[in-house]
Amino acid sequence: MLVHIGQIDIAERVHNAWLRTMEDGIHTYDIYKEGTSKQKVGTKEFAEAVVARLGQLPQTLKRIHYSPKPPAKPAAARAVRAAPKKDLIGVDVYIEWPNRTAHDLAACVAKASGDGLDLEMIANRGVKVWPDGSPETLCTDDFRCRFISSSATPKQIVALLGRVAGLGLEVAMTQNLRNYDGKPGFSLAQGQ
Amino acid sequence: MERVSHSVTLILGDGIGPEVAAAARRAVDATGVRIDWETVELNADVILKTGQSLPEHVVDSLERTGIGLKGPVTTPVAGGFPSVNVALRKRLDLFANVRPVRSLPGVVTRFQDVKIDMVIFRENTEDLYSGLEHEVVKDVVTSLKVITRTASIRIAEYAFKYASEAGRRKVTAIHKANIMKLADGLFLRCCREIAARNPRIEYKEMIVDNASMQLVMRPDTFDLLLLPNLYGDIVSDLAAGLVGGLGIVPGANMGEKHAVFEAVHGSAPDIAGRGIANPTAMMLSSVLMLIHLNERQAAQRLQTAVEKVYAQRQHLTPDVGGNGRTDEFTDAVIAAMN
Repeated sequence: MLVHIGQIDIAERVHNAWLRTMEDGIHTYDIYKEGTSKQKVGTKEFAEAVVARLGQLPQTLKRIHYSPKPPAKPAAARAVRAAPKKDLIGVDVYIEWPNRTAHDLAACVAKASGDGLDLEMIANRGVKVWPDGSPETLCTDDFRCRFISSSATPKQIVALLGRVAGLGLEVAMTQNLRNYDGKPGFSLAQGQ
Repeated sequence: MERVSHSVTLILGDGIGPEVAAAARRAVDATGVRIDWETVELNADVILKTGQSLPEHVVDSLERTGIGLKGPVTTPVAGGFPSVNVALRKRLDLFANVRPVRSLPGVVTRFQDVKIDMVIFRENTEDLYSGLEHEVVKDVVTSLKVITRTASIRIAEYAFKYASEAGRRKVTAIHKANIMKLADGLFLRCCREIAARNPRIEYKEMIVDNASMQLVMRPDTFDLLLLPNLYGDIVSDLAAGLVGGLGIVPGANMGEKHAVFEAVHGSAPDIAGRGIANPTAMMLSSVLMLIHLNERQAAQRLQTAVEKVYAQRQHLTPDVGGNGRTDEFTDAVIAAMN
């Protein structure tokens, strides 16, 4: 703190006095060790011992030396990324689907496709389970259905969600999928 | 009595993989256990050629045998292939990552005066490793942490089952539920539930930052550690460092139907083909495999033989301060079994 506010000389005095106290074997209970330590002290006594040594230097430990802070450079302009081209290309719809298979869900939820938004895959805990899932994959009740389009509008996404709900499916969460400068701003599912 | 024979898929891997795999195979065969080895090639070239991190011939073999012993495989950097280990875990649903961490006599470490003997159980299928990442708006990325009751109960049950079978006394669940109250809170609730069913095993909880400090200050006080994926990943490497690093610790990835035992170190291309690679991690992974095959006597023989060779310090490989070769070390282990 003293270094931070520029009081370098005071910081050195305190730090060196502390080193000298440690070196003299004056130790608090947590670090006191028979043989190495000389005097077991409380917090207040320790502080007094340090104060009494202000101006002294450690004899065996390396004395501390702080360099003055270099003058502050003018703050660099904060780097700003040029606005990327962003394209809404789909949506992940998390659907609660208890005790059923991904295959059954695909058959049902695919009916909500439309406006160019098609069901691309279904994942569970990040692992693709449809199409061509592995029978070993443990599925929770939370299935993520990814709908992809070449380009979509926010209204089309909302309409899609309406159609999903219309099928009697319960939407737990949704996440829009965007490309930034043509690159996906989202990860692929494992196995996709 | 005719011995039962076990089928095992031996995945050679890249770099030093084929050398350490061959050494482990020799040591396992020398225990007298009968293994039908199905050797499969899986390395960066195969991945590039087939275009898959996990080509069908590897999956087919593992589906057949149910058990793999695996050398290090390098995932090609170019081509956007998912990591082989991640692909294996997800494809075969290997939900538990198990890493025993034990002091080896004769290995010089910062903690050589401490007897370290712990087993780390890391949940392997979810948490922040589910790969659910989105750039929501420009320059704002979210990564979803997934914790489920199913996966948490499954790893906790597995850990407590192992603890009682292996005669372990204490399970410590490691978490950050003070911050992630819902996610890690669910993980902890599941651990408590399973702990309550296992009253003979002591159950403790520790916040991950404190656990990290305690691991380096009092590593001998830990027995079995139970962690979600991210903390487990970090803590298991920290723990390996206490006993001498990834070159000497074994690993296992376990599922309901499959198990893959592997050395967790890299393929060390700089020393590949020179005959000086250290096969210890592969051998100790084979010990875990033998335990899994219920060949407990053979497992004990191999483990004891490795420890004996280390204690003698005569035939160790260069990475652990010796000047022995892979073959010489392996011969010494085999000799120590008799």
